[in-house]
Amino acid sequence: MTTPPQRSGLGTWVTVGIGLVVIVFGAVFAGRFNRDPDMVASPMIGRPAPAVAMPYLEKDGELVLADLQGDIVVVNFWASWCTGCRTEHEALVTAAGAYAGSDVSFVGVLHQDRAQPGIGFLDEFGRSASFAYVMDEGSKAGIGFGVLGLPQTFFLDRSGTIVGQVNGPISFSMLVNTLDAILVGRRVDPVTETGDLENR
Amino acid sequence: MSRRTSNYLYMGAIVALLAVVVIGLIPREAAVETDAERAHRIASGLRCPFCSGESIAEAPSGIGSDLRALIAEQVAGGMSDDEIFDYYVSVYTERVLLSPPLLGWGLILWLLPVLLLVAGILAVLGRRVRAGPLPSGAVLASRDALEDAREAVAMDLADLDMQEAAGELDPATGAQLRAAYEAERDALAATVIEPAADDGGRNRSRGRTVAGAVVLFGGALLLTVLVVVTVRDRAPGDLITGGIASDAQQLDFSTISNEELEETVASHPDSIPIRLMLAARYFTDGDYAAASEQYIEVLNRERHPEALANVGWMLHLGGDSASGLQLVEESLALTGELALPHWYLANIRYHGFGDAAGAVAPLDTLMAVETLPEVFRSLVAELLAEVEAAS
Repeated sequence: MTTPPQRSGLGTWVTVGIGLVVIVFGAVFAGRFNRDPDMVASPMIGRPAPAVAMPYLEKDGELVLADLQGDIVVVNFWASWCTGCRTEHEALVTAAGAYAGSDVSFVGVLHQDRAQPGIGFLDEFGRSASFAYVMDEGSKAGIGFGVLGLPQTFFLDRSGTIVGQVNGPISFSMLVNTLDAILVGRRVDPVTETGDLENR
Repeated sequence: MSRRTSNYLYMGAIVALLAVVVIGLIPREAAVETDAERAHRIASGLRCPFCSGESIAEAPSGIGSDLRALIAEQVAGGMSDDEIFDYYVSVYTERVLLSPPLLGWGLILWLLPVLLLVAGILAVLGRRVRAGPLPSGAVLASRDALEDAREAVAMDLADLDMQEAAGELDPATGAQLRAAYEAERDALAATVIEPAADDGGRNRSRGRTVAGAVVLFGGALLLTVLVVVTVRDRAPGDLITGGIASDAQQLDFSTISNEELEETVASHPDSIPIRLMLAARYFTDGDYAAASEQYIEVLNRERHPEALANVGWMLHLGGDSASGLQLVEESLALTGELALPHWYLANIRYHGFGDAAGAVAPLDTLMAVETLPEVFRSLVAELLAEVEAAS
């Protein structure tokens, strides 16, 4: 019973060590609070476009994106209720006209909307003969592309692989720069944010 | 409270916490699931990617309905749970999972409270381990250490009494030990702690205990929160519910008056569910002016299928069947899962436009709903017979 106290310090060091680990974890977690979890790289880049059949908006038949392989394809998701879609509409129609006959296809996917308001939108804001307007039945195309809101535009290379994505209204210069880069085989910015995505 | 008692309390608290964790992790009773139940369970585990934190199973929006339909298709198509979850993770990233897997940050998140608990236990109990019995004449750092030494000597003397009473010791050895113990006891009784040293030692000791208790409490709190969040989608009435009921219909709002709901809506103008509840009350009571006011506020914020359908029906009743039809159709384009919009569609087509043939399809849809209340079913059957005769 007369053993002198032994302060080996092991317990203290273990406690201090665990405390330090906790502080480091805490600091890392706290650091992550500043990151907007919405601003993640898209998981879609580098993947093949989903194989979904989409009925045409204003004519019979349906479009499958795989049928467009060999072309560079712009897939734009839009709706009549989406204000950002009005902002970008002219740029898309103009670009579709400018690239007609250049192995570039434009597909406008009417997402989360009915045919009638969609057609009314095109009557009001104009349509391009070079654009294939299709319906997104059951939102299957939107889900397959991981659409998080409107407007969203995807660029497919000649093999049908998604190489670029623009979240928010797209501009004419952005369309031209991206298409020219893909046409000459340059790398494009995988994801560009231009504004808030809208949901109904 | 003696140290031994407080140690038992600490250990008891830890065991209770571990019991909470274990109970929380016990899987619910396995049962044979129908495809619909399996689809609902999977949808409950996936976050609607662009709704306000709701699961796909709960999301009232059109895309929520489309996602539910796709999950049902995937289930019917024979995809396994993992394949379906993997598909949504591949499209929307791991943020789509309502219960993140125990990998990466998820694992660290669970390790953090465990580390806090271990650190807290070491800090609290470490003090007890270090404060062993001290010899007479030693430099005593604190009053606690002195008390430990006095306690140890008293216990030695008591042991000696027992051994002597039992005849386990020869008298000479007993006397020798007794003299040694009594000398030590007297020395300890005469030991005085210098006030400065005493305070410092006590403060350090108390500080360590308090810090340990805070860390222990923090770890326990974090662990409890994690467990509660993990099990929060359990049905009300389970052993641990830990969260709000997923189905608001199961809560009893009948005791809340319309006036109280009006006040709540005024203080939370953007809460769609409360507005819908208030609007539905007015609508059921036939106060269409008050109902319209609330439904229009809802529609200004979200194209909600229930609001669209009921406003459409009120427009039809008010004589504007064309606008009413448009809103009901918009509601059905968002989701086909509500029964009333089908009923409204059939009635507006038939009574508003004389389109008996057009009323057949929505009524057929309703008849196919197995869970339709019998009273409603008989009304649907009656109208169906009428429109079929008319067409």
